Amino acid sequence: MRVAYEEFWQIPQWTQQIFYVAAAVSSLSLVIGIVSQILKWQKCRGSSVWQWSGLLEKFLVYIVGHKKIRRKKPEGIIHALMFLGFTGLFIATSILAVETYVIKSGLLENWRYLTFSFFADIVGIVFLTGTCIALYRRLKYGKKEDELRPEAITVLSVLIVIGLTGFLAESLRIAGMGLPLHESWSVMGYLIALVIGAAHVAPGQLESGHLVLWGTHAFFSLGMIAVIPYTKLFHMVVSPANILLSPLPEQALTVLPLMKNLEQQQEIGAYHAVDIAWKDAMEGNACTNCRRCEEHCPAFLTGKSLSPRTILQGLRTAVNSGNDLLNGQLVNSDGVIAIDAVWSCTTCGSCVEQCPVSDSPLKQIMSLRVGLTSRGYVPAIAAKALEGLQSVGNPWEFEPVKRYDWANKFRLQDIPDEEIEVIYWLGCGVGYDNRIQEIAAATMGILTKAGVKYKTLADLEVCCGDPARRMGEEALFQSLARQNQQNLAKYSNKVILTHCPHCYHVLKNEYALLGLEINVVHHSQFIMELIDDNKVCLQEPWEQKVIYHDPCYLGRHNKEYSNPRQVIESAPNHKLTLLEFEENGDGSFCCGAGGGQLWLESEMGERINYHRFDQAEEKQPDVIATACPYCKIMMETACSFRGSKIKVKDISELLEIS
Amino acid sequence: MGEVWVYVEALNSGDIELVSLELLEEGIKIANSLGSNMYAVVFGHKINHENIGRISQYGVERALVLDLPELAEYTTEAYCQAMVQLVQSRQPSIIMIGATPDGSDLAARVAAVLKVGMVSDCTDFKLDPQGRLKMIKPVDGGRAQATFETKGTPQIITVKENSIGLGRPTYKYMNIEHLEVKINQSKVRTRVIELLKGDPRTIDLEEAEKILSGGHGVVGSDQWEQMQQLADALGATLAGSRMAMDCGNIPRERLVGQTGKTVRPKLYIAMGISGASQHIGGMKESEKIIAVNMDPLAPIMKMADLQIQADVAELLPVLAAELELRKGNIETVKGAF
Amino acid sequence: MRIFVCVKPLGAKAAPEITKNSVAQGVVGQFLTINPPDRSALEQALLLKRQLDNVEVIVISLGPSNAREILEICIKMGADKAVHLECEDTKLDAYAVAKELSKKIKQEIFDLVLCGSTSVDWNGFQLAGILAHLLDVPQITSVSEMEMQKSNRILHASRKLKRGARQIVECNLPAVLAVESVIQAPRYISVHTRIKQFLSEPLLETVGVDCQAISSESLVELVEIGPRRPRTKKTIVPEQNMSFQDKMKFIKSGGVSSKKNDVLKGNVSDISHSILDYLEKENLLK
Repeated sequence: MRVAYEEFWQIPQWTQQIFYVAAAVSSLSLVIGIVSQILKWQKCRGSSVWQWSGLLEKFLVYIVGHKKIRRKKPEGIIHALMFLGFTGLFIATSILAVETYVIKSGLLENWRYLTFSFFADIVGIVFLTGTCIALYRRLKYGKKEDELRPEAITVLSVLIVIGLTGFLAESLRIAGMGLPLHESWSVMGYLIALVIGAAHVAPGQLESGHLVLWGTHAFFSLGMIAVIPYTKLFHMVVSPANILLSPLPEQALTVLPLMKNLEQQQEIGAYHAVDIAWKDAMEGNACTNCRRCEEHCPAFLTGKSLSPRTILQGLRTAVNSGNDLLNGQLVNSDGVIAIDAVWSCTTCGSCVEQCPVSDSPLKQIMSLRVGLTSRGYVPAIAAKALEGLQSVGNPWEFEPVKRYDWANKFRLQDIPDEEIEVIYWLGCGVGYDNRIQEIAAATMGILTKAGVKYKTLADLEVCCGDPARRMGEEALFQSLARQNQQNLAKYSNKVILTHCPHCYHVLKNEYALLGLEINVVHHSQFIMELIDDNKVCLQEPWEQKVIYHDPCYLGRHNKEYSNPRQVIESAPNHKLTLLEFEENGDGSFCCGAGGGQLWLESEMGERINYHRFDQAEEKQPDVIATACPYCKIMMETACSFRGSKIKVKDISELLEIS
Repeated sequence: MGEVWVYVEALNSGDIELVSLELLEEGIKIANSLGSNMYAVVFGHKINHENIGRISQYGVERALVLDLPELAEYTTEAYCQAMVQLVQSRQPSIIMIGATPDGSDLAARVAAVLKVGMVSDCTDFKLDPQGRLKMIKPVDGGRAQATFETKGTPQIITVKENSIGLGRPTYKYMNIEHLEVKINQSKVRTRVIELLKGDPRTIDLEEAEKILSGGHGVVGSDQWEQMQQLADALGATLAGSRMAMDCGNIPRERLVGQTGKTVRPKLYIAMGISGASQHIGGMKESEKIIAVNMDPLAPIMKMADLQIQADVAELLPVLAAELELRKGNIETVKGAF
Repeated sequence: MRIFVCVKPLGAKAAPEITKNSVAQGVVGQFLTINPPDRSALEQALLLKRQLDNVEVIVISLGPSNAREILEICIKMGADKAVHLECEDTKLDAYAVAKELSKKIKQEIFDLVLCGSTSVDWNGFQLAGILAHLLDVPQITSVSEMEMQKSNRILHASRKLKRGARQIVECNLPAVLAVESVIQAPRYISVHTRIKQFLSEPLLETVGVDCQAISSESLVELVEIGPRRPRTKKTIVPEQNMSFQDKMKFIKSGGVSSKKNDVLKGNVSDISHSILDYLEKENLLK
């Protein structure tokens, strides 16, 4: 017997013909499905941003390597099994097709055939293992009310049937061939064949059994291919495509597109389904309902009406079925996404951090906000903050002089411009709350002691634009940015220092989109440099257990996790023990103030900052340390609500204790 | 020199608007400086004589009273016609009116009919050497102060309540002139359908004149019960800080602060409120602030007109009792007349 | 039904220049705003437009040439037409402005004229009254709600009186109503709405007016403007509760309580007395 692939073993002509017809129909269905979906996406008028860079890395690390998918265990590993299995089987089938129709003979023979057989069976085993465990878990742990449950069970069952019938058909063939030794490389098939052989089934029956199972296998396989575009299996096509065309995950949060030429557009933002971009519509389909975003979303976890997943699914439904996009009292329509959900987002970025298919619910929410805000549909308190930004340059409507007059004791304006090294960017918080003034005062104290020559922009500074941009007021953000740009221009060779991660993020990443490169440094980074240079030296020792809360805009958005921790641990003469939250680093749980939430405050559910504070209390710290003025206010509010003795301090204030 | 008139606005309840009383003494001073007479001008129907008597407590010697059925309820055109006819017959040089919704409404129309200038919502006024009235008011959201003079006679001014304050009563014998005018009913084109009194318990915080607000320091439903009773006794509206709302003691509509209401009442009493910036932002423009807190260094203290270090739990019942006592006394005193 | 809405533009030029605008260098602070009560008036008109059939909302404003921006915004927000009476003088008093507005409105058919109770810069409180007299129609001021009755010629308006009281007043149209607030807060005017191209030129009518002639109609003259110097308020204290030292302190202080008070401590009974005395002194005890 030849050691080679025998195509269509004992499959009669008529069956083969039916097979070809079915294959053609199935392929047609697949193509039509994909094309019609693309046509639906193309109805969207927005301009897409395709990120072509890093294709190889995206492919190897995130698609094949499953890097983000594997973060969640064991689901990630199980999917890896299914993926490897399915991909392997796909490769195996493709090789067979090449052998049968292109090369016609010679490829799959001898050692190549044996290797191939082994490979094919292994991946088959992996595939079946994955799908069976998945189905078991879905049946055991899946919630009965979940409307996605029936489809999941059906699809998994079909895949398992395909796998099983594949092995059974193979084993019947091997048995029918008389169990030739070289077929033992098809390990699973050979094993089952041994069992069948032991049952002494007649050859005729083996062949007819094989035909039936082969036919069943073909039916379900071709059927599965045909329905890919119409079921959750579509993610196999769309999700990898989305990963390849989206930014690299580590850049996903900093590369937020800028809207240009606002004056020339009568309408901006996503208000109707067709306002979104092609790519965003695709993101809707790429979403596999895995719920990782929900499991890390501070709004969702505290009972707000927002789920990042349903935002994406809402886009998907609206694009595919032509529904209205939004619903809510102000907009007088009943679309698929509730306005309340849109306004509940804190822009913490966890959803983007977690999404294994490189979707960005955050980006979609921002587009929706731009659509609402540009048309004036903003909640009243947020409107007041935005009007304050328009009229006096800060969201709390205080007189501009209040931003800096508290700092007069530092006598900063006396130093001539040529001598200064650092411009201290005050931010708006210092004019509003004395708790934030404390942060700035502490930082300035450190700078003064270290002999750094610095000054502030005084009344030339207006809000960096973060609240405006996060609330969707894109045009206001751009006009604030342009104003700041004009006033920062003469200091372009200086270091801009800020204690606020929101300002830091905007100045560093978003002003660059408007053409201004600013050398901006967060105070945790600058202070760490001063400590390294031994310029900061304090007398009194202070022993405390300090738990560090990663601010979203310093951590997730700008990947700065280490400097603040180093400041805590290397604070000179202090013995500060660094504690960590369960959810820390890139998994840090938001304080709840970002995304304009100080003005959008949602009514529902639990308060996000109380939730985070309770997480801190579990670790029994003496101090909660943070590096963001918003985080400090939110943690302090929670602290006094809970009546706790824990102190809340910014890292700059830790050094000032003496 | 022409007469100086102070328009006295009577409330439907029979009381007199505070600002009208505040203006009486001032009107007399101005009239004396000009060497002329001050008249208190009262419009209405079936006017309560006790009410008119109250005017005489502020040194008023002359009153002009128009008691006509057409003037039973305030309507712009009826009152305007009445005022205009009086002006045309007596030619006063100055008319001072309290800046109330009705007062401002009347003043504007009267000034337009007479084609003279009017300055509203003033907080101060002075006579200049020529005998013209200089009218002073805050402008640009209170950031500046402007002084105006009007053209024509009479000079009409409306004055904000609580800018002048109430002087000590000086009883004088008051001579009342009852006058008549003809009102053209076909030119009275508005009708009052209904008057709904504001109940401090239910009105919007932004309209409340007195607010009793509780924070973290007011603990438990018993204390909040006492707060409501105290509020009722004071005629104040109950409100609270974020903490109070999060504990479920007040509903969202009663929240004072950045994400709640911004209020400008005459009186804001903060019980057990520390004064975080989010709260202060919502009440810092209150005219008078009383702060009660266990912590004398609480941020709210330094903005309070009356700072009190006390335990809210102890203070509430005692304050309520004392208030009851005083009200009882006042009733007795009133009854004596 | 034709509703005229009078709006006043506020901005760097129109507002009093007493405080130095320190952000004068850039974009912030240079946007013209619509006087907020007028904004409410416009919102009220648009509300009526949504509720009734055949309502035309025409915005009218007297202001310098750059005030055109405000009228464009009003049309972008939903007004049907706008009339800009161009006059560079921003120091006109209410009578002069009302005279000019009424001249234009009298030339048209009008059923209702809405404006804000007052303007937040000068706080005049007069425009509605003067306008109503010059147009010889009834007026209702301090309006918080309005409802047309079935005949569409009779209006019921709710007036905001003090201490939360409301007065329902009925009047026949045409009339002038001064709007204090609206049931639905006015929509936010986004920067995009301000800067996007204005494509409805034909809807905006610009009329040149004789500034000199108008200002001669002024009845109020600004004498001077300066920093706030509030008048000292008179207070009286029930004499029986004051000790001699307190009376002397009180007389010396001129009857004014300064905010730099000491914190009152002690037993709650004394504290209660102090609180109630204070309230009596300030006329806050009914």
